[in-house]
Amino acid sequence: MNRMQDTMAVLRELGGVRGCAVITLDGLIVAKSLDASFRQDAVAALASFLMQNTERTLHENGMEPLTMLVLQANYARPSSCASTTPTWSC
Amino acid sequence: MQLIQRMRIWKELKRLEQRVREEPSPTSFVDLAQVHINLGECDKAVEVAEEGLALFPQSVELQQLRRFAHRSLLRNRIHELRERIAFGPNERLHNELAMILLELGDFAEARQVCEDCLRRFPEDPAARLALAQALLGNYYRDLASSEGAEAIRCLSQVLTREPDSLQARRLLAELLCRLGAPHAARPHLERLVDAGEEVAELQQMAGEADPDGCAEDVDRLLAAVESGEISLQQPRARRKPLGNDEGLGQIRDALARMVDSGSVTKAAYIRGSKAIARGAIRDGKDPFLRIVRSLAKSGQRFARRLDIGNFSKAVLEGPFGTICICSYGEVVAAIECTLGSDVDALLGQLQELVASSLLQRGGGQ
Repeated sequence: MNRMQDTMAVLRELGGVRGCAVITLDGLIVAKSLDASFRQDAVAALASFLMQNTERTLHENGMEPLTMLVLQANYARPSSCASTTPTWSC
Repeated sequence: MQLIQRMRIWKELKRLEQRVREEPSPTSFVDLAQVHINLGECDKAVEVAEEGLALFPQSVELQQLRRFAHRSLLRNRIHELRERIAFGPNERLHNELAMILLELGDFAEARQVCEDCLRRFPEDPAARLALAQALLGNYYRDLASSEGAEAIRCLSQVLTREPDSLQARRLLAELLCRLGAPHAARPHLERLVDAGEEVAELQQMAGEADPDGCAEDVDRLLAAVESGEISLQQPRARRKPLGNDEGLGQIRDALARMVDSGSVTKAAYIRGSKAIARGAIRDGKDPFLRIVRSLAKSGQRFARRLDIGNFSKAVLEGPFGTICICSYGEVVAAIECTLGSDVDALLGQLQELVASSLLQRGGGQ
């Protein structure tokens, strides 16, 4: 857990990073370091929804699981890297 | 609803109202209207959507939201009207209900309401006209000749009882013109002209119809439309604009250029339910198109709920390669490329494609 927190601390020091979290595919937060403007339960639920939905669509269409997903919106650029179970969002 | 819950919603509403005033954008209006819809205040949601559309008239999201809120309002009214009809049926309530159902496109239900009204009030002219409109709606949707014939019979009945009903005469003239029966439509068009009605479009449709139609048989024409032998003429207002093909040609060229560049295997431009595709895409059910549609939709939902603005781009990587998506409103452009391609450059090209297509439509927000 300490290594995870250390990595997050390093990430938060990078310019423009407003938060990062390790979230399981079913929406449980393993570790987090988020700006006060984010609601952690909303971030977890939405990241889980997005990853599950994308994984399911890939699976239904006979494609392999994803390794990385980056979204871009007007005010933020959330990125997710996925291994078999945990999801990493920042 | 509990007091604390009410206070939370009230606080959220105040925050969104302030955001609409301070940072007006289609998203802020959509968020506020969405809360009103969730509270069951569809009338307020319509007001907010209309305010937003006054500032951002091209916003597809606001247009969809206004349509949704308006339809929800109508559904509530249907419920209310049905309850009142159950207690004390009268022609006015039946007609209002039928007109709402027609507006919602529920022609089968509208027909049932009109028939019920005519059983109780056989002399009601408005119910007979609404019944004809429901039959016509059914006919234009399914093109079943029996329904077309029934619609013509019903409109003729309305005109027999009320020869001055311009609406019924126009509907009948339009149906005959679209079927390609200009001679049958002519007396109705003449009556409409005499009454000072604008019928230039119908006259043009009648003029475009087959000149050999002197011996026109409406029943035969209805059967030919049903079997697909001939097609119904479209009023000019509903035809595709001529400039559209040119715009589509440019999109096709841009997609083909991307595929020809080497690293891109599939490219697509999607607007609503339609797509233009280039590269190794088999058909409309290709997995690439499904994934792009799904990811664009969930990305939009994700960005809105997390309050980070409108979703614009996505990059999805896996053993299959890289999928890049660029989205604006209902327009999505996407490519699938091999791992290690210059993703930023490709996203730039997709953005250019989406922006230029919106400019050609005179769209954008």
